[in-house]
Amino acid sequence: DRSQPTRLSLFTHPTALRQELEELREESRRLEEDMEREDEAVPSAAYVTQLYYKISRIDWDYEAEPAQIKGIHYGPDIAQPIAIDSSQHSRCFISDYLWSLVPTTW
Amino acid sequence: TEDEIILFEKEMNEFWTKIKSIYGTEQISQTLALRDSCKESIKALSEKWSKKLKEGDLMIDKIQEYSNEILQQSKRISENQEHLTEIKSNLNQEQEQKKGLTDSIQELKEELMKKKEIISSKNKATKERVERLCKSKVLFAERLGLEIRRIHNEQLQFIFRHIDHKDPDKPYVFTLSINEQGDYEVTSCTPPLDCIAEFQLKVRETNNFSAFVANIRKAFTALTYK
Repeated sequence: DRSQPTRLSLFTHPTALRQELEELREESRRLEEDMEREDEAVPSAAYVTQLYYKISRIDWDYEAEPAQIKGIHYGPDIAQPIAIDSSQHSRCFISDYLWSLVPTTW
Repeated sequence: TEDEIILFEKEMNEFWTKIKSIYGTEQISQTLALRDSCKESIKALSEKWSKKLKEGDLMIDKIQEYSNEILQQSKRISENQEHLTEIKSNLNQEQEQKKGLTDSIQELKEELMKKKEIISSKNKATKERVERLCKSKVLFAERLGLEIRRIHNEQLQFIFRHIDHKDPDKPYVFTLSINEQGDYEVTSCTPPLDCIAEFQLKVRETNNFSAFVANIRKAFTALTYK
């Protein structure tokens, strides 16, 4: 019952309560600031990823097993699925193949 | 018989005088004794009553004293009661203040808890997002054999690998920036490419960044055929 003061609060000096109140407000302010700062962490990481997409127009399937290279290439006309077993091919082959999907025409 | 009468009168007188003297004396003594004993009694009673009067006076004084004291005590009690009322009222005020403060504190605590929950889930979401973005970066870098880095002076470095099939880790690098006119500018290219200037022109014309990078890779690859 919040209307009745607890035994503890009967003996707490108002000054102590005010201090606690002030500290809580301060904490609240700090949290707000932290929240704002946190919001800036993502854009930087997103920039490079967006750049990769801009260049390659490839979207990976992140749920696939690590050895399976799965995704979609969004070409100018059609979207083409990608499914390569990376254990079957060299890194160079895979890179060459993926880059072959990106049009070189200006 | 006159002599008889005189003798009788003389005898009567003698008898009367004798009676008088005997009884009179006795009576007088008796009366005197009575008077004395009365005096004694009266004296004793006087003393007794005088004593009682004194006691009575003392009691009256005592009663007066007690009355005064009672008056004083009453005054003090009433002062104390006033004081008590004041204290109670102050206490009530303080209690209300404290309740106000406690309520505010409770509200703030709940608010803070909510904020912390929001932040925590936001952080979790952000963390997941950043993790996903990092994973994405890694996948692109590994699969495309292209690493993109931001370097000093707000430039971007593009590092190709998997170009030379005989040396897949050999890097082929070019650096890009935006010049003062807002155009793409290739600031370095290693190993150098003859066509890089042409590509730079084409990308400024068409803004086709994808083709730009694809063509540079193609050119780097062509170097390995020589």
